[in-house]
Amino acid sequence: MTDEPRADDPEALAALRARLRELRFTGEGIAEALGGDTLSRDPQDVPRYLRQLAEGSPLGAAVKLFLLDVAVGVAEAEEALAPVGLERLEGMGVLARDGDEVRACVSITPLGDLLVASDRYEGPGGGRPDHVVGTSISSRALAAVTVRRPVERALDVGTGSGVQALELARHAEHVVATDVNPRAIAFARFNAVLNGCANVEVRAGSLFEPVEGERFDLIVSNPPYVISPESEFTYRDSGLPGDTFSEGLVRRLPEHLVEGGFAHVLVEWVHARDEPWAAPLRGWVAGSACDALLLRFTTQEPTRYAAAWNADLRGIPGAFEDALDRWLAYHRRLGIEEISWGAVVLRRRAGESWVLAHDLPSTRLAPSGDHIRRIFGTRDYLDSLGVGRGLLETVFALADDHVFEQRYEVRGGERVVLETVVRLAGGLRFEAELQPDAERVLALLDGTRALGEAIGEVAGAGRFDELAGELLPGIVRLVELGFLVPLSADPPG
Amino acid sequence: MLRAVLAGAGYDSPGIKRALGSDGPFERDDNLPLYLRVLLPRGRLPALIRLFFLGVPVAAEEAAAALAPLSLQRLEALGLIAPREGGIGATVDLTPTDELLLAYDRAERGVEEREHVMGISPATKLLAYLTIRRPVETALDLGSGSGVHSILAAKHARSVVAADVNPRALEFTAFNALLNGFENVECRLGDLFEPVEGERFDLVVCNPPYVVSPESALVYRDSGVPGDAFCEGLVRRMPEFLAEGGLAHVLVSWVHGRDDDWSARPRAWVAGNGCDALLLRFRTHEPLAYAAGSNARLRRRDADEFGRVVDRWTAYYDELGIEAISWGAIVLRRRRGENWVWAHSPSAERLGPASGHVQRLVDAQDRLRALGDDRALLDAALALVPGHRLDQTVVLRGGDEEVEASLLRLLDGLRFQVQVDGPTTRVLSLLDGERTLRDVLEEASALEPGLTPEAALGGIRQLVELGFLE
Repeated sequence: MTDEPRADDPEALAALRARLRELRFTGEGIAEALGGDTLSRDPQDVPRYLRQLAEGSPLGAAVKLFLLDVAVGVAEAEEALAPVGLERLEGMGVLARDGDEVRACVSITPLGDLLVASDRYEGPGGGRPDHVVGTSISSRALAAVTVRRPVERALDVGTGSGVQALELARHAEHVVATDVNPRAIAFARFNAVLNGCANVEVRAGSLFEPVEGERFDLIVSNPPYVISPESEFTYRDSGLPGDTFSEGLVRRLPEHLVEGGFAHVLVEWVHARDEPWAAPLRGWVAGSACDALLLRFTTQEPTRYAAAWNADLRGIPGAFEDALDRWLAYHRRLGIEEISWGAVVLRRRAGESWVLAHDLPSTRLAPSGDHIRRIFGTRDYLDSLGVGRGLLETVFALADDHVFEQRYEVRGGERVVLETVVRLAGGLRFEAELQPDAERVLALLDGTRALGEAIGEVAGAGRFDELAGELLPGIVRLVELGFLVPLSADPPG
Repeated sequence: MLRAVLAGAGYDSPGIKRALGSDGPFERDDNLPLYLRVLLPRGRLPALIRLFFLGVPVAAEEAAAALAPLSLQRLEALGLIAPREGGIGATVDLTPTDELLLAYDRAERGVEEREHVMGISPATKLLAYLTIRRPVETALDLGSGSGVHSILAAKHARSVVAADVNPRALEFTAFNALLNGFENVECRLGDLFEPVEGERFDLVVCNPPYVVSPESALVYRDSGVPGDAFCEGLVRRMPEFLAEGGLAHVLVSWVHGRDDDWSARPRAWVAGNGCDALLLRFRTHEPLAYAAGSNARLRRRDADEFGRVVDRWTAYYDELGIEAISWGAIVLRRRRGENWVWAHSPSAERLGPASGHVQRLVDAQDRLRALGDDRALLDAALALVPGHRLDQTVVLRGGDEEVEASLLRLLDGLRFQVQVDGPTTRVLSLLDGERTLRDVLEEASALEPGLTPEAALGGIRQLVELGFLE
């Protein structure tokens, strides 16, 4: 087992970054080198990848070293990484020499134009307790829902490899990243230097401990939220029962937010089968002095949840079965019926707070920060109206990235509309089914007339009240989902 | 009686899905521990699922109760169950499909065994879906395996011959035919056409060992003949076993150069054979991906051996100069006169029962060839077939509708989908099956400036060929 990487030669790391960029060590470049395959994390795919990589290509050598965890001849590695000398990388714990071959001690994954060093995958059930994860589905989901705007101070709680902090460093003047795991601290510092982010400050300590009494404009956190009986991995297991860890974290966020500041945290929580998924989260954010947007990705019952989190133990005889039994017994003891996974977005605001809960159609999110800000803005606007007043007088415009999908059938030479759906091509990719006349009303909402006028045009004489009553609940929902933007409302922040 | 017992316990596709809390597909290798924990501990259906679906032993009393009034002795004599550690175990999988109950070799035990009898694979489903189902006298299932195609044919053929070189496969075919209550399936042992020399059939179905590989280890996968020569031989001999008007459906692989027209080689196989031919290509792989995909099971078990096998396969392709391997189906219809060949490349992903659709593809070729000139289509009264959808994607900009795309798709069969332009959409919306295409085009061009009959005709012809219009 090697030591953690040390960023004590910034010049060499800058050169490594430049060299990897030159080699096209990017998602796209690597996919091309692999003949169109996207790289999986599955070690069983390695033999195939090795056959796909062109013999003697410097990019191929870098992929072998940093992604496939395969040894490379010294000469090949030298050529691939020049002008960075191998000894300098060995000195920082990035590479280790073994006879006339070298191996990487860390995995380096390209993420957009960032490079993220993390621990390598150690096989089923393997990995050290302080294993440091790089990018994952959850890290990408958190990055996608983060409201990106220029701010002064940002905080990444439980930074791990530092991937969120690196993203924050692009739009925050100063980023503080905390972690309780010394190995994660080392990786986060290393990655800050590797990516030339001088504005990331890494502090050791559990959760908010290193930032007691401090407030931030923006907070993100991808914490160990898994609801498990284990306390094996720092990155996964909090060691606290049920969802109390996630609850505690959410409850402590507001005290570190400045007025108007946004916090984004991934959580898992438990709820009864016949209870709305948002019910427990509403309790966590009640009285928090924050508005809250609750987003749910998935809900699983305990068996499938346990199977998903222990999937890689299938490689070890008996281990998968043992883990399933252990997890299921734990879930039974706590009376857990359903486990949901999602994100909580908070915005600190004086006055009466609101809570909005939305289901996400997919975990594969596009960058959604702008969409989420729009949702906060439209909800503020709805709250600013008195009950049942002002909505009809509001001038709305349809979001630019909307798409209508109309499904027709042709019967006897006539088109019959079967269904009309409106969806957003970007952001959270919401989708809503429309009532027959709603589409005609939306078509008139081009920013030149009030909602009431549009309904009036579609309704014709004498039918206004009836149609308005029919359509308004759906239209309010479209406003809440960010499809319709009130032109008279000011966006927040 | 076994069928009645299983049906009585609710051992069918929906019942198993409910009991396992999943809509499938079921990955029994990966998820067995999970399924065992989801399943209720007691009851007839859970016991039967353990035995015949999951392949797990069940205590003798429990098995006896679940299978009553059938006795364990009778089932053991049939070779379906055997004493195992922990009670009674099944020797075969019993998998319900939508219509059938099929027995075949347990997957985890014998896939690498030479005479393994395969269960239902995506290829099995594909062939079952593509086969044109109409009442016929005689049918032939060539390489019957577990017998699924024989049984499906037995529903609409007076008599079915199931031929296989693997005696074990024929035992399964015979067993499955009886299990599903069909007595019109006759099993014959022998290699390919050998057991039916000199006979002709109204219907032939064939899911042969078409994988292009250097191996000859597995009867169900490897033909042992170099390259695609096995498939070629099979297709070339097919017509002599078809009665006039008879239809053959066969799954095939073939090889070609990277930049070649994929259809060139199968066209050569069917040229001058006295049959009309539909050539359907579902997928083309480059050699490395093909070798890796065909050995996916090995990859999971032994990565090093997987690497060696992939090397052996790719070396074999190199040696034969193979740059691409395509996979698809050929449908032949024996017909006197001038024959046609139509090649198309549908997706194999979204497929449903397609008998009616494939029949329409054949009818469309007959019709278009009979018309000769496309302009003759103008006198036809066309309409979109039932089960179509026209999906329009519309964006509103400054109060104007902008149609970004129109997708015409079929809900059933081969589930074709094609992009159609605005003017064509207009024409399609007016077709009512009574007015002639000429009349409709006239009306549409009044609404769509720039629409000319000549331009529209090509698109309409294509939609007739694809089975959208009738």
